[in-house]
Amino acid sequence: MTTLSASRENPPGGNPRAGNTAVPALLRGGRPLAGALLTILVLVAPLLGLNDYWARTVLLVAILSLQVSGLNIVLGHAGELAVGQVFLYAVGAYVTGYLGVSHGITDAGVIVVCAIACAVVVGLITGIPGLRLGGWSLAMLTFFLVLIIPNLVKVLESFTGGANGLAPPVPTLFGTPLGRDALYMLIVAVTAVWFLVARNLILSRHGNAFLVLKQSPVLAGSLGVSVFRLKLLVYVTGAIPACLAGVMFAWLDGFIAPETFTFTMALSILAASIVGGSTSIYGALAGAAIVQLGQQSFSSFQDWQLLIYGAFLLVAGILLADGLTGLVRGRARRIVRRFGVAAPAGRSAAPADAGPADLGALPGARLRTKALCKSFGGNQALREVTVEAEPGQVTALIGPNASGKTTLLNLVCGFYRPTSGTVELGGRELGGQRPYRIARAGIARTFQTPLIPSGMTTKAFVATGRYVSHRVRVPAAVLRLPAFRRGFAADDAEAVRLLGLLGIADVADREVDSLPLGTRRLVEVARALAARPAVFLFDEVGSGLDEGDLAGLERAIRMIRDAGGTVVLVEHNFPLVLGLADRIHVLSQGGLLVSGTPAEIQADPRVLAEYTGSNAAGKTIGSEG
Amino acid sequence: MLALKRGRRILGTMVLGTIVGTAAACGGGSADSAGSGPFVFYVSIDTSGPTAVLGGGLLAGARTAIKDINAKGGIGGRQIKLEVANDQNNPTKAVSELQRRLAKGKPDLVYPGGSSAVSMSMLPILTRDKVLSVGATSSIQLNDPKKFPYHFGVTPPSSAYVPTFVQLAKEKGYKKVAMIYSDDATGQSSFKQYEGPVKQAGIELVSASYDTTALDMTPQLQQLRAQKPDALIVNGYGTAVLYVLRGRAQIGWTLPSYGDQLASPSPIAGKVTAAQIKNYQVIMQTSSLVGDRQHPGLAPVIKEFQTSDGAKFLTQTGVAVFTTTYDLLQFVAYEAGQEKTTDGQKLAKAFEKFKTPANPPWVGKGPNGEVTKYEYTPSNHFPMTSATSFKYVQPGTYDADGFYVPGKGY
Amino acid sequence: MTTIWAGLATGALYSLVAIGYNVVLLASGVVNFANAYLIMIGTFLAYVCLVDWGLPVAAAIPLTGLAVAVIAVVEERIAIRPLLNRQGGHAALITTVGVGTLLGGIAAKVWGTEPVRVPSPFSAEPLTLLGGTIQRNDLVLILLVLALGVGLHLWSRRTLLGLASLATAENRQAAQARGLNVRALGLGAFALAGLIAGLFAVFVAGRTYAHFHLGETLALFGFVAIAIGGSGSQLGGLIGGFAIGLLYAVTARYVGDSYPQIVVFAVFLLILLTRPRGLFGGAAERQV
Repeated sequence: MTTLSASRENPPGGNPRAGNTAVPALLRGGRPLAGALLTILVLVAPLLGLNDYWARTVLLVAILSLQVSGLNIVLGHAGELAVGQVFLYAVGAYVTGYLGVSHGITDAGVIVVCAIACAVVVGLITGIPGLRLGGWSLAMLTFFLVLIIPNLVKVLESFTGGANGLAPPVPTLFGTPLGRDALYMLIVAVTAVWFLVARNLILSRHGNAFLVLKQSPVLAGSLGVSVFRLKLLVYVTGAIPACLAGVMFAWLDGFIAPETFTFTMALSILAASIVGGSTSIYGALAGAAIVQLGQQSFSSFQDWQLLIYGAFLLVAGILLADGLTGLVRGRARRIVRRFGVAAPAGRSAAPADAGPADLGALPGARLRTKALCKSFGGNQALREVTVEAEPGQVTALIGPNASGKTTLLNLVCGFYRPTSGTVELGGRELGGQRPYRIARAGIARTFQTPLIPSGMTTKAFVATGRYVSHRVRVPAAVLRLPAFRRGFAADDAEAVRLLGLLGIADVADREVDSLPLGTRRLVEVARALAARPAVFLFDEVGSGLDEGDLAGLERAIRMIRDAGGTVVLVEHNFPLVLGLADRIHVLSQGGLLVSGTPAEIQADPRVLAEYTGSNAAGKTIGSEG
Repeated sequence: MLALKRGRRILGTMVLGTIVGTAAACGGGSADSAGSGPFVFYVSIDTSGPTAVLGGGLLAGARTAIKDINAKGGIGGRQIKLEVANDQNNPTKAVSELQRRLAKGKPDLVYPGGSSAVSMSMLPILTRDKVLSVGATSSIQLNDPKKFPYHFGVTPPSSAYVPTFVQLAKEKGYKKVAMIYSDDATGQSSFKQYEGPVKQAGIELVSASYDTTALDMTPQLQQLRAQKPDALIVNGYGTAVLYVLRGRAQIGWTLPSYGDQLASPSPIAGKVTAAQIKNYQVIMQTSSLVGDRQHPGLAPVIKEFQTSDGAKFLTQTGVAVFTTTYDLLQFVAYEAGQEKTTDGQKLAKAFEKFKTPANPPWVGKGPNGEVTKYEYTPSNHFPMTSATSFKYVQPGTYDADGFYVPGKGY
Repeated sequence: MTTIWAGLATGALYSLVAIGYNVVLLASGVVNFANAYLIMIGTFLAYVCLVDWGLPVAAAIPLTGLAVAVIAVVEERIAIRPLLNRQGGHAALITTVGVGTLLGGIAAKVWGTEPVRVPSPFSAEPLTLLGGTIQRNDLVLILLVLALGVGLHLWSRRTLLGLASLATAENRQAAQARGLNVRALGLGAFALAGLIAGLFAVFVAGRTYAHFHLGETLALFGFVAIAIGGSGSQLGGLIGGFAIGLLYAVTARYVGDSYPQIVVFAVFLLILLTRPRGLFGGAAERQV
């Protein structure tokens, strides 16, 4: 199965030093071919003598894997626990039954299209309230959906046949009824097509955006991504395979009754997802195969069945908590290491391979806050702060802990709503808008604790900065249209170039969450640069960096300034600020203490008092820096 | 870490074992199929779910019959081989198991599941492969010789119980009757079977259903009570019957109540108080009542049941469940002997003109097999019964021989 | 009124399960799906104590409580502990489902698949109260669950241990850093949940009988109670359970038998849209 495990890399991106990437590069090249061959093999298996029992098993695995794939997209890639696949499964089955029994529509193509349409509609209806309110609500809402299936089936008895069930007719394709082998091939083909679609979607910038969303909705928002809309996209996408699975099930069994669609089934899907690895594309197949085979074979243990199945879930849950694919990946990595493909020992700090140090012109704009206030409850975190940051300049915000620096940044980015006062960008009022709108207006930021998603390479992460500004639409990604290929190549090239500018081009192919803190900060700067915003908000970007990294950072900030960008630096590192800033604002206890050039600030006695923690200022401040 | 490694090995073994086991069960082995080798009797039944007790009784009956028939030379000279599939009363699982068996070849005779829903899912496949099936599931949808020409029922359809109730209702002068039933396929079909005849007799029928997961039925009972019926029909099995009786007593409702064919054999003895079963009666086939005149061959067969593996089920399910499979095998063996064939299609044809012999080898259908007659026609594949075959009695319990003793155990 | 009493009695069962979920959820952030199965096993153990061993009720109740607490502790050791340092919090859902299934299988194997009547400490003669009838056992069950829920709620807000458990639920790492013994707390929560399940088993069985399938039904409705009441709030779980018990009973009585679930769903949506964190859910988290 190793060749099937997912990585979020495109085939040509091989790197011989890939010890830390998702899957050894050696295994990557032949994968599409192997996948295609395997699909064809499974497709024609009945002609090669696959008996009915195994053919049925293959189909049941395929059907379960479609549902698991739906869950994986939502859970593994966007981090939302939605257990409503069974509901969509039922929708698919009943759409098939209703069309067939009441309208005599048996054409497979028509039914599939109708089912997808229903999946989208049901996904939107159930997703909008659930997603508006976030994690727990969605889990509960979808849980309820599964629970009320039998009741809905009964209430809608004239469409669903009620408790007695419905017997959908044999499907047809171009007017020909499908025999057993033809039906087998149809179901396998639909499943294969879905997995291709899922793969293409996930191995694209959209998939990376899903991972960002999973890690941190805050980060997604600051990339200009509408968290709600992206979640809805993920949720609705996940609804489609589950609904298709229901259609296939109705064809396969030719009999649907409400007893099939139970919470127990939802748990099987969840088990298969976890056992196979929720973040893996093809893990859905492995997990579905394990759970399906397990359930099938354990039933022959007669009255021991419950005991054995319980033990199976327990053991599998413990041992495969990271998923089968996680296990295989870990092992593959170890094997590769043993065969002497060394992991990079350390990276050469080589600004030499930085490529042309040219950013082009950045569309800088003036950022201005006017009498900005923020209070939490009765606590005034920010009082009437009026500051400006000019394009082509580095503006630093300094001040002791709890002086309101980060509050100010969060207000500018839209994570907080101002209590009063305004935030303007180039004369445009931004205050109170949602974070993604503000990001789209041209404000990029880095975080005090870098927000780094897991499961993607550094260059892919940097490229997420371009997700909104250089958008490739979902259909283009799914169909791998030239627009997608161009966009993907351009994103990669730009990401590598930006990393080069910061002197860390060599980490481009490493897993981004394996990087040390200092490097993560630089990667965040590159990610901010990729969006080519007007304003850069750097939140303590210098802390935790070693000399070499610091030099790269300083160079980059100067470059941004020279290219016309507006840089806002929130820093504790006083020397760094003095060396870089054109203008410094000092905050203290939520208010603006003083503004001026570095020389003026250095000479100001009040600043000195604040910063040296002299007796007059009390003992509050200055522990870091 | 060590424990984890060991665990992984255990899991590995489990998974491998599963796969190998499944493969062995499906791939290898001699292909037993219709027409040659042993006569394969394939039983799809729940052996691990809530109805596993019934499965135990059915299997014990089948094993006893097989021992007897095989000792006498088998069916048409072929030894009977029993194969059991645990379908957990789940139609999808039942179909999977059946497909697994069919991949090895066709069985000669199939018992298609313990519930009508399971039978409904299996019959299309069995029909397609022209496999003879004989079942004790009672939904009238199964009695459709055009659609399922190779399927026969061996227990009276649930509708056969209804005339006894209608007769009783008329005698007692009930004007309005209530029914409480489970909101699943079995409960609904039972309700439909009462609905027609009861209304035809000029009696009004009101109803309430309960969810299969319900833990309490007082609301439904109160709803019915508000409509002031003269009597109550109770549908359900196991805990559901207990909850109905408990709720009925709680609201102090002591109207005459009657179990339907599913609720009646449900074991409630020792689980209810005298107040809870006040005015509650169950319907029984006369042949399963203690003291009824029985087939002379039954006593020795019961001795066999009592020494079999499934002996413990005899007092739980009654002898009627045992004789269901015992008799059906005896019947098939008898017909195969008469017609000198074990071919499913030929047997099916022969069944349609069958007349009960004077001294039949099946033992649970009255002294001369007259209580339930396997007398099928091309348009009716369910056995013949008459209203006198059934009787309302006090709830009781089964004695050591598996006969129902009204009033015993309270 | 009888319908109301019936609803409250069923609701008490759901509340009891929800409380068990919440005890563990609050202390260790794990959804212990097997909790309802612990109650199921408890009903059978109560049967063993009362019938097989002929113990008096006063001895059977604490014995059952202890035995189930031990089972819960074993569950924590084998199904939760190995997952503590792993990523992905959903594996616990699968392992606890595994334990639940296992317990169901054991019950079916040992005590069979038919319901078993556990002798009730109270007379079966129904009581007339406020114009409705109710079984004595059910009344006691309602009162005890009410007392338990309110007591736990106050305990978790007022005592040091309770607050510690709240803190752990909020942020595991932070709690650990402040020197809380997170592991002991988690283990203690499982033991407590098991103890509660065992202590109440006699009264539960008095209403539902002991049946190996009981766990499944209770598990589902316990979740519904939590969905309505808000996760991690003892008061919420308590009221959620009673509320759905009442809703089910009243809808089944006056509207129709297909609708209770749908009505509860509608109420859930209503709560979701007006009080996103459930009736008694905690305050919204901060974003950054």
